[in-house]
Amino acid sequence: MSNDTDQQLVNRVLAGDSAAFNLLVLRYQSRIAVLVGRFIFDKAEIEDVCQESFIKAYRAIETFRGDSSFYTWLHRIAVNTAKNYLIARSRRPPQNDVELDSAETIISLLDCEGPAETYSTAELKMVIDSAIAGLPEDLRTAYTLREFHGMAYEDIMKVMTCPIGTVRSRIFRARELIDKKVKDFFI
Amino acid sequence: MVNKVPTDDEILSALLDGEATDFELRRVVSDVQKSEDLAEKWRRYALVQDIVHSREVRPSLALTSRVAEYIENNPHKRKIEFPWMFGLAKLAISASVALTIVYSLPYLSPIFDDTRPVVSNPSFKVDNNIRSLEYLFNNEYEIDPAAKKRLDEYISRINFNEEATENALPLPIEALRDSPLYKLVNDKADFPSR
Repeated sequence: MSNDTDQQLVNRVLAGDSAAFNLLVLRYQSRIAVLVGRFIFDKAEIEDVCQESFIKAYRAIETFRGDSSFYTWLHRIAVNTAKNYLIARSRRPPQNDVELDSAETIISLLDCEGPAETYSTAELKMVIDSAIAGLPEDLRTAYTLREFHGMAYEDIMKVMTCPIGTVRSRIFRARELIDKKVKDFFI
Repeated sequence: MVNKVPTDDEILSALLDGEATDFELRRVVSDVQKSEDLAEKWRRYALVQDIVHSREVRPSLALTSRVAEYIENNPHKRKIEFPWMFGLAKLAISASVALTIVYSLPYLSPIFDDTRPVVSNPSFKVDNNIRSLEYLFNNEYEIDPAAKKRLDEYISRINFNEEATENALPLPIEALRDSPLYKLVNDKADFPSR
């Protein structure tokens, strides 16, 4: 289903509604940040490389054929952008020996996530799991069928024997209740 | 039951599942541009979905508006794969219009001395002068036999109620007597008798 969403948004961009790309950025920035964070440690630089990746993707949107998922396509762009960034940075003469050491360290430190980020993600997951468990039964059922079983609204309608509008409404209300807890977490 | 209009939040939820309609999508894309709260909500919805599915995320990172600014300053323009086709299309349209004018003008303009036959009889001439009507009265001209047969059959099926005809109110033709067309049809001096 995420593919349908992404394809809908890509189609909107191709139709001239450039603003639709912003929704793709908002959707994938957290995941792309993790990916780029495997190459680059500095938070400001991560942000720069992420932005550059999204801009490259936007410029090349016409080349996205839908053969793979949008995220897979974006993933490739982000990896290439991060690597090019590191190569370009390593070509600059280092200001001092410390900077040279840092660059080499960064390249070697793949698959390494900062402890602070790992901690906050795990804690956030606990908050979300608790919110889902606390949902009213109808909302939890609809949400679970959608999110964990990947069922379309039409199928959920048949399972829960209720109108499709009710399915949509229940899933939305479930998300709202979860979102409220997540929002409080970030405050 | 009245269908209520979905809120933007509800549309975002449906969009996340790929269940938003095109109309809703257009609306919410436009509204996200205007509302930071709505944009943040979309980001949180997506973040929750990623965490629920155990995808690695960096929740604290929020990209600045630089990407949005870039997009706003560089709206997507659909690339024309074959620009030469536009020139060809224009040429085709111009040629079609020209041909239409060339072929239709003789029938519209009295200054052309057109001898193009309009019926199958090759000897039939139309000289755009109203007197050509005499030809129609005095000559047989070929028409499609099947069509003629059907026309004859139709005419034979028509029954006139003579009583009704006799009792019918006279046609108000006084107003028509001064009409050039009336004079043309009824003035026997201009037309040979049949």
